[in-house]
Parts: sequence; structure tokens; C-alpha cells
Amino acid sequence: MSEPRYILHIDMDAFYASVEQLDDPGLKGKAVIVGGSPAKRGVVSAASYEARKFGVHSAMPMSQAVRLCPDGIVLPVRMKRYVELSNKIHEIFSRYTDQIEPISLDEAFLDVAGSTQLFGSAEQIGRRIKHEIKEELGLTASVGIAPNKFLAKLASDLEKPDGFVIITEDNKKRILDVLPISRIWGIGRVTEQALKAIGINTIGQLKNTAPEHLKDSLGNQTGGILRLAHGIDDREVESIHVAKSISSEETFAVDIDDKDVLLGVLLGQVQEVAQRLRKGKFEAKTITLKLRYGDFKTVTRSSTFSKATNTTETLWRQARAVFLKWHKKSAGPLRLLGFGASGLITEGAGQKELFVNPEEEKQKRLDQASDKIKNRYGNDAVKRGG
Amino acid sequence: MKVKFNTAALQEALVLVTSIVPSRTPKPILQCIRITAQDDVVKLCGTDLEVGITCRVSQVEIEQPGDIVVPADKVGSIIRETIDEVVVFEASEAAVHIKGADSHFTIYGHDAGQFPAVAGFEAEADFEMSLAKLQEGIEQCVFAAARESTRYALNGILWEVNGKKLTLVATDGRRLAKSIVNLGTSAKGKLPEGRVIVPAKMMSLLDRVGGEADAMVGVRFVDNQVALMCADVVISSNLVEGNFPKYEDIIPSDYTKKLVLNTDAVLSAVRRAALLATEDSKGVKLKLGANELTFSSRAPETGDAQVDMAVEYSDAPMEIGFNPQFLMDVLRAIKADDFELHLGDADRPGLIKSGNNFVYIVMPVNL
Repeated sequence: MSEPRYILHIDMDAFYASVEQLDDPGLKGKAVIVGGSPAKRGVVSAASYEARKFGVHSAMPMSQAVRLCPDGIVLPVRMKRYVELSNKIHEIFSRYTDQIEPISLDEAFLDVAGSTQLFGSAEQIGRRIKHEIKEELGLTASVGIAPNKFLAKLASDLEKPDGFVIITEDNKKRILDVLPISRIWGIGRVTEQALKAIGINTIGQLKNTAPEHLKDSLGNQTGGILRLAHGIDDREVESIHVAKSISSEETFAVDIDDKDVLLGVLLGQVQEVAQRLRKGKFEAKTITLKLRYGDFKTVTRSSTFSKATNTTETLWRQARAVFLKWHKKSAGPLRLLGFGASGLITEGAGQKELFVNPEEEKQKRLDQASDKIKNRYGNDAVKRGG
Repeated sequence: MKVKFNTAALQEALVLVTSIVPSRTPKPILQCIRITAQDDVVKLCGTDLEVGITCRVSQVEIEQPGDIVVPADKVGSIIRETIDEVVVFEASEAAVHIKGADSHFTIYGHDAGQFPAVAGFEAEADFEMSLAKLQEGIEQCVFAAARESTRYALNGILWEVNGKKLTLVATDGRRLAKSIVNLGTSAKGKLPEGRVIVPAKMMSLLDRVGGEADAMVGVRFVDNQVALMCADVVISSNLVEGNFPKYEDIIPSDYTKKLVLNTDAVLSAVRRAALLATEDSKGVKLKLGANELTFSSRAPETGDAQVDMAVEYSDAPMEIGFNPQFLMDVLRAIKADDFELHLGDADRPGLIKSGNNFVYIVMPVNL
């Protein structure tokens, strides 16, 4: 039997619309619809609960929303502000655990099994997070607590808005059995209709149907969906901090001895790693070269920066220096060459510098421009001159 | 050579001179000191080729002048352990004999001619100032100098002389300390280009020079060297080459948020709040609200710390993070009971002032 898990699913209530009501208290209690303008075929991104009473929901065409709720106040999406508040919410989560899996700006899974000794039970942690979001940011969240992600997400939705629901091994059957089958991940509208056609409306009914009768409607998903129907879900909370290093390596068809060829390979790897660092908004403190000789003997050579970086030029200059130092002393035909960046920190985090280094600023802008072009036209669109 | 030393006087000189002897060097002779007896004084010399020090000992009886080079650590420990009030140094052909009432040490010396020249202080000083004031100025900024930066200029302390003021500036690129020392005499305008960079090592050495309360230090610049003389001690050093950053531009002058804080109280608060700062971010958060300053830190897997302090503050609330070490360093160096903290935005440096002669700026940590 594995350790019990305590998963929190925290879902902000009508997040974008609530932020608008927070920033303009005059909107409180009013039907607020955030999204694109109806004139431009915009869609609803979020609707306050007051607007939802009129049947407005997200992803609905704005023109339809305005018809349903003529007095609704339509506001444009202010993504920058939502991101700012989302970061603050994330900061509150991080007080209790670093096992955080953000699903979107307004929703995240937290695994707090490792935090209960310090902060009390999962319920206490959930209540504190909910309270701190309300106290510090003025926003309400719905919290679901359960032994797995599926049930936690289900729980946060049960009493929305401002909900707080705990599902345990003991009460999960009672809660699940009466819920409509559409609550199960993987059951879309088509599947739902197919199941209803054979008289299955609730999760309880689904569970009590022999799997062979479900095959026609569910196909190869049958096993997975039945497990969810029983409240079983083994997926881990995948925190974004899992990345400890980013690397790239290549095994050669024939051992390579030529210094310039190896440097060429290394440059490609540095560029790839640097681009991935920037994409993930990381900076690396340490670089490591992995060198495997023809006889499989493998050595690594590392170098640490005084300040973490993700500029291609800085990483390359150091990688090249490390390579040349190795080459001078212990060169030999290589079967494999690899380049890795570790000691990752969030870009811009940590100590700031007093003096701006104009050269480094220039490199940063160069990287940004090159990343943009590569994203649009592919990796071969821009190349270094030398 | 044959010389009788007063042990206490010799030991004092030895402690200072041996402190710059490098513990590891490809040139073994640098691990020695040179002892020269001439006329009625004995000079002790040590150098690591960058910084040199000469100490005159006058409580001696010279029976026969001479010049010897002996291993610093051995002479140092022999004199430290000796129980005699007077010791005798006597050089024979290849060895030096150190004799007490009941002891006789023989150590093999080196050829005095091989010892690198150490600059003395042969001419008049370019300017003078009080030793105590210079030491205070050094203490207030030497900690901010870089240790092993590849930008060599940052490993030194900038000296700028302007009329009767000496400005000392040190920075490691993340914080910067500036302190002003009043000179006893106007500079005779010999400072190359008005500013020089002196190795931090020489500056900390000067901090170890003992002296009377009113002792004065003479300063002299020759070529690319600086020499300082205080009573019986002369310290000389090569100047650091390179460009010191333009520090004037980065000292903020537009801040409106200002607090007057108690030095010891803030030091204690930072130390306590830092107990749970993480290894990675090493940050302590300062949160300013109405008449309240909160210091806090967090280690995701360990817990968090918070220290509250009542302050006089009515400006806009703000939060800013700092490396606690950078705050503790400066708070330990400030001698006054109170200091001023000036703040701009969370991504601009904190500015600390003590009296009219000390300014410190420190870049924040993004928490």
C-alpha cells in the first residue's frame, strides 16, 4: 500500500471577471462579461456569477452573451493583470509546498503530503490558502481536497463558488455514484449520449454495468474510465520545478576526432539548450560537457558562472573554453558528445546587478530576436555567422 | 649579524609582517622574511610581490649589522613560543641562530640578495591623515570589494582625492560602499589622474596596524605604486589596473521613501529573518506598511520566519528583497546608533546613509 496522498485542487471563482470586480469595486454584484468585442466576433473568456445566471458561460460567442444578458458589462481581457494576480496566488501556494502543477492562470493542483507535518492537515492547509487568497488579494477560490487529482478537481467544483469540499476514501463512493457521467474526464458529449442511450446516466450506474456492455460506447478507454468511476487516479502532481537540468547529446555513427567538427556539434547543442532555457524562462548556473571516447570511457567537464545566464553567446563562450581545455589535455576520438545546463533558476530571479553590462544586454536582445524568428520560420531560419 | 631583540617588540612586528606571507607560492623565498640590521634599527620585510610591508624595530641592540632571510613561519612560531624577554639573533655563514636563556635554534637561511626589493618610503608624503579615521573609512567599505572578480578593478578600493577629502569606494557589482575620510593636509596633487585603485588586501592590512590614538598616516604615490607610512610601518603595493565603474551615476538621488532605523535592531532583525532564507534565493523580504517594517524569509521545505518592527513611515507600502549578508555586512560596519534607509521601487537599489561621510547602495534580490 502506498503512502496516502493529499491533493488540493484550487480553482479561482470566475477569475477574470472577479479581477475586474476587484479593480473596479463599482462592478461588484453586477453582471460582468470579459472577452472579445461582439462586433469582432469575440468570445466570452469569463463571466461573473451574476452574468452566469443569464446563461452566459465562457467560450460562448460574445454576441450571444450580450443577447442573453443585455445589461451585462462587457470588458476587454487584461491578460497582464490576470498574470500578475495569478503569480501572487502561486506565491501563496508556494508557502505550503513546492509540488505545484499549474493548469491555467486560475487553477492548480498541489500535493501537500510532504507539508502536513509543518502546516497541519491537508484540510488546514486548504483553509489557510483559501483564507490567504481572500485576505491578501480579495479574491475567492474553491478548494477541493482528495487522495487524487480526479477527485480533487471534482471536489473543487461541487460547491462552486467559494466552495470547500473534501473527498476521502470513505465518502467518495457516496459522492461519485449520484453524479452525472459527464463529470468524468474523457466522457465528452458524444460518449455521454451513447451511454445515456443504453440507460447509463450516473457514475453509479456506469460502475454497475459490466465492462463488456460499455466497450461499444467507450472503446479502449473503458478501463481508464471505469477506474475514474471508482475514484481511482494514480497520476502525480507534476510540478514545473521538476526540471533540474536541460541537456542535449549526440552519439556518432563513427567516432569523431576532428576538433572543428566536434565544435560544430557542440555549438548546435549549446544553441538548442540555450533556446530551451529561454523558452522555459530558466537561467543556468553551471554547464557540463559529456565526452565519451571510443572505448566507452566517459568523462564530464563542468564550469560554473558567477551569475546564472541563458544567453547563447555566454553559454557558448564557456562551453568552447571548457571543450578546448579538455581537447588540449585529453583529446581523443569521441563516440558521444553532450552539453547540459544545470543549477537552473527562474529567469530574472535572484540577485540583481548594479552595473548594466551593455554587451550582455545586446546578446539578450539578439537571442530574443533569433528565438522569435526561429519560432515562426523554423530552426534553420537564422544561423550564426561564425 | 648579531642582534639582541626585545621579544615583545619583535613579536608585534613579526605578526604584522608574516601576515602577508603567502601560504602557497611557486617562489619559496616569498615564504621568508628579510631581517636587516643597520645603524641602530632593525627592519623586517615581507612581500607577496603585490603588497610589501616593512616594519622597523628600534628596541634592539645591534652588535654587528647584517642581512638575513629566514622562513617566516619558523621564526614566527619560535618567537611566539619563547619564554625569554630578550632573544639573540646571530647569523653564521649559512644558518641563523636564535638563542634564549635555555634554548638555541638553528635555522637555515636564504641568500639575502635573492629577496625581492620592497619599496620603502624615502621621500616626503603626498598627503597625511589620521590613522584611526582611515581605518574607519576602510572598515566601512572593504567588505563590499569583490574577492576574485575577473574584473580586477573590483578587487580593489578606489581612492579619489579632492582637496582635503579622500573618497574610498568599493563594489562587487551588487552592492557599493562609499566613505569619505578628511585629510590632515591638502593633497599635493600627485594622485595619478585623481583616482587610483588600491588592492583590498593592502587596505585590510592597514586595518591591522596598531598605533597611538592620534597616529598619522603618510601617503605617497610613485609610478604605479602606493606607499603608506605610519610610525614604524611602511606598506607598499602595486596599484590595480583597469577601469573602476562610474559609481556616481548609480547612486540614486530621486528617492522619496525614507526611514530612520536603529542599527542594532535592524541587524538583529535581519539576522533572525535570514535564518530561514533558502540557499538558492538567499533573500530576506522587507515589507513596509504604515509605521511597520516586516522582515521575512521562506524556505519552501523548512518553514518561514518573520520579524516585525515598529517604525516611523507613512509613505506608500512596498516590498523589496535583499541578500541578508549584504545588509548584515553594512550594519556591522556602521558605528552610529541610527542610520537612514532610502528606497525607490522594488527593482531599484536600497540606499543606506550614516552621517555625512558614508553611503551604501545594495541591489535587491528578486524573490
